[in-house]
Amino acid sequence: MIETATQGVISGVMMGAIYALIALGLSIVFGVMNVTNFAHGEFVMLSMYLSYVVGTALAWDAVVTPVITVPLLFFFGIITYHLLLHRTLRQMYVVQLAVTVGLQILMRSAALIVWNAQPRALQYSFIQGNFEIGGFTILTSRLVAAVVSLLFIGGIAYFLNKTWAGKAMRAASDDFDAASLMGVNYKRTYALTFGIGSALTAVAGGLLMSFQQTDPVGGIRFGLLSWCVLALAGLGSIPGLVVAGIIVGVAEALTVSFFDPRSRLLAVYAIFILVLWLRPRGLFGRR
Amino acid sequence: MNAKTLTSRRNLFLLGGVLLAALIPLALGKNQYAMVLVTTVLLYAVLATAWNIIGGMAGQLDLAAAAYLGLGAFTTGTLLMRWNITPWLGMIVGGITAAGLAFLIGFPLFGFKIKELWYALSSSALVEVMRVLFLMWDQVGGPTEQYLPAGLSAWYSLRFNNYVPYYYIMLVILIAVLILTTRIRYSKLGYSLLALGEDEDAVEVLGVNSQAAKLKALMIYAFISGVVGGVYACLYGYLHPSFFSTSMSMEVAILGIVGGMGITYGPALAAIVMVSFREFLRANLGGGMEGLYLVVYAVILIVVALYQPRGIAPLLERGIKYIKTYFGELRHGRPADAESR
Amino acid sequence: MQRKVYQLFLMLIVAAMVLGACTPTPATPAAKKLPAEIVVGVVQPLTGSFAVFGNEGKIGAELAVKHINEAGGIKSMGGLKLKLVVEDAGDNADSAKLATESMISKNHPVAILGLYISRFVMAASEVTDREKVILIADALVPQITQMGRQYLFRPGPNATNHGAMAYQFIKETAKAQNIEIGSLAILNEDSANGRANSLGATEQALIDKFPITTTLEYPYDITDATQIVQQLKQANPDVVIHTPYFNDAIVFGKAFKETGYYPKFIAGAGACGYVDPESIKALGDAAEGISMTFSYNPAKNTPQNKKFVEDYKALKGYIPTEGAGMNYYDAMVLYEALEYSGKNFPDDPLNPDNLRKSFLALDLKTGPAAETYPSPEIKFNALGDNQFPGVVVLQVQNGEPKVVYPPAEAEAQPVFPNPHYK
Repeated sequence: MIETATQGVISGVMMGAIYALIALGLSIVFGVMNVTNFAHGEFVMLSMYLSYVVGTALAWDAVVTPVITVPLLFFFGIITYHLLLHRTLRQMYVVQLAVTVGLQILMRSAALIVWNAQPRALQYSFIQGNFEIGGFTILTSRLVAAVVSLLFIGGIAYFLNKTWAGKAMRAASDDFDAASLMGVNYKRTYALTFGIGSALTAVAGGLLMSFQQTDPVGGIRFGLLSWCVLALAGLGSIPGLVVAGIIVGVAEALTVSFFDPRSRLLAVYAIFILVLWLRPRGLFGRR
Repeated sequence: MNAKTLTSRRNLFLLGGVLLAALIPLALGKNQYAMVLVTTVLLYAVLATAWNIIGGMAGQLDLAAAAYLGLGAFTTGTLLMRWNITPWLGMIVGGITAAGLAFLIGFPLFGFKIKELWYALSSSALVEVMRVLFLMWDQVGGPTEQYLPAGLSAWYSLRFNNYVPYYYIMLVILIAVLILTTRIRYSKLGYSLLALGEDEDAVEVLGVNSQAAKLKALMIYAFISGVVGGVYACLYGYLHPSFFSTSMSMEVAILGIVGGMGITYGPALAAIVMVSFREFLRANLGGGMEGLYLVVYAVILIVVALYQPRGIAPLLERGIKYIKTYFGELRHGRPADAESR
Repeated sequence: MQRKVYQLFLMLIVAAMVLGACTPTPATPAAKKLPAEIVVGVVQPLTGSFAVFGNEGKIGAELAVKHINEAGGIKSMGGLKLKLVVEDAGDNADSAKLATESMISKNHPVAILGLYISRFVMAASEVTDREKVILIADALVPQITQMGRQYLFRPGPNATNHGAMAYQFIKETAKAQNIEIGSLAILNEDSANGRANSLGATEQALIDKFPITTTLEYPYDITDATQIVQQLKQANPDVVIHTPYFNDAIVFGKAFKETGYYPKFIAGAGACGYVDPESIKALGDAAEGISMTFSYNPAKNTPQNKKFVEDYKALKGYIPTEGAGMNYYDAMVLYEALEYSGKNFPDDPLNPDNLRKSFLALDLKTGPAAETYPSPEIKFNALGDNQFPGVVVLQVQNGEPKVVYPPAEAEAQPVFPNPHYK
């Protein structure tokens, strides 16, 4: 029993790092622009599909595909911002929700038409394999994915704290008018923010495709995951996101090991509702 | 125009509409395909109109219609299968159960000043969660579909071999829901909800308990959806966790939004047009275009949300005004503004 | 102003409802005079989650009708040709029911082939029984023939047959190759089909008092199977009988390779996954050595089957799979019933009750249906099931699916144990 638990914790921690990366994209968008992107999970789904397309067309390994999918998602994010979100910023909140819900449904259904409902996977990845440590099996793919995720998270943290563009983003989220007085062009900043948030999902997508598969309805899963991690972490703390991601990852893994493979979603949802109810600010939230 | 005049005029025309709608099966009755289609339209019309209560009036974007419908369906079906309780009773119990679920979800979320966003988010995952729960719940069937028995008599177990009775049941429910929605609109609850949508804090100052109001709206909507779920189970004759369909929930929300949030007849109108359109697509494009209708729905939703956030119905009213003016000009040969002196 | 709005509203209700109905005039009762051609309906999931099977089923039916017409149509009715009409059942029971209603209202077929998923078949058979249209079902779940439907027939085997065959295959092959196997694990996705297959295997194992170390169930849309594979590893069975759907088969295939855990043998049941071309492509060498039960034998050495395989391969580029094969012989069974009806009920051969009697009277050992069916005989019992259900086992050998069991139908020797087993 202890063995199963430890094995679960190990894989949960690794998955948690990836979840944190996915939630990071959302956190940036939500935190800076106060935009609720209902379709965030679908962005992950889209990036996984794009990885599939690139990987199949060019016979690339899944982990290499972000080279192409990251710029693609970045531009997709910028276009989405200009086409859809820019207009909603001045309207009622419900309008923004409705638009992003519409986007969610649109992406989901379009994926269904283009790729139909059968899940897609890439060829066995070169980072797949395993090694043993003290009687526990570590899956290399998960480990690589976790490390890469943490690297990217660190990179974004650096970007936000040390570069002008990043600081502009943070300033815009804190006090919008003051920031524009200081020369921050809000339209460009917002578009950049959304682009980066989207591009991050492409990194996660490529990593996930090395050992998972994608289907048109996977967006709900990733969406719930992202919001749950975000709610648990609260806004404003990147290390908090990592911790929250790991908590969710471990909870999920343990639920699957001891309970039922189907219940992984329930664990995440339960955490989500509990957090909203008992500590809406999140564990590490600034506000 | 005060509430009284509105109600009586409305009653008159509703009566006319009822008569017309009641005659439809006489025209189409022999054609089972047309009947099931028309019944499906009514089903969505009811769901969308009920959605309006939480969506249009309380301003909460609920994406969990199928959670309540499915729960109502399972309750009704299980009561019939296990204890031979007639679905006439069962659907009421189903509605109450669904309202109970709504309370469980709504209570933690509406209290504590949490932003509407979180309700919408949690509702979008609720359907999937219910689906998984019921997949795991072997006692009520789990992943295996449960078929409803034909039972003592068709009227007792609500299992008819043609669609006409279901049509009438749904029609009655639709009328009841339309009347209910109108009543709520002009009641204290309705005014509170509409005011909430504008400025929640101001409303609180006036002594309105916003949490209670939203919760009430949610529970009413859930109750109706649960009752519809009971009829749904009898219509299709089986129970299965796939009833908890995210697509259906999204469709209902779109119908509510596009139909015109807060306007009583709007969602029903949207249901008629869009569900017919959906079937038209399925029948004629068949082939690889399964998801197309949802793509069209989504685009319509986005366009409506961006350019006409109050939905289609006000557009309709403006259009009618325009037509009136235009024909007024033609008839009297004078410019319209001269007439409206 | 409100008044006008409501008037418009009412007009719209009427208009939209009439428009939405959008159908031709209702059915004229079946005439005793023979029509110009016999309409046969195909209702399969052509879009949505089950589209892979549905599309293949459609092609199987189309080829069958083509062959029947080329060979002279229904000779006992003066060479009457068949006409195929297709409707999309979508991916939920609602659309399946709608599609069936639509099919019958618009085309008045004498029979319908479909619908692959058991609850679709249930929804559709309610309609077909009411309208008295023969439904030839290709779903595997046993219950569909136990619901009292009068006009439902299932020539193919059911899930219990599949599960039992998977077990039998392992048992016989291990014995023939002198390999010891002492324990079994049952693994399935959690649908009715998954459970029915597993039950079939479990029943056989219990009869033999063969130890089952663990039974595991999972949702078919699982994305990460490694934890379940770890659980399997801990239970340490000699062989695993796995009933997947397509996508989860790929997830498991990869998980086995990734974790490095392989039992002595992995036998699939339920005809989905592992050995079809798409799955082999996706899994690469992870698929090697895994077997799967099929309701159709692509290697059967009869003239009709060879013709079918050739034509199908010319169309799709690979040999026919489960869906195509099943619907092909289902259509051939219909052909035989029509011939019988024309001969024995010459006054009213297309009457549904006469057709039904014809189906029940069939005892096919030769002819196009028997030649493409994976057992020597087709004869229906009162419930509509075939009394001689046939199942074959395919195994991936060098990237190709080969029929390896039962010996009478096989084209190659099974490879046992699994090549990845250490």
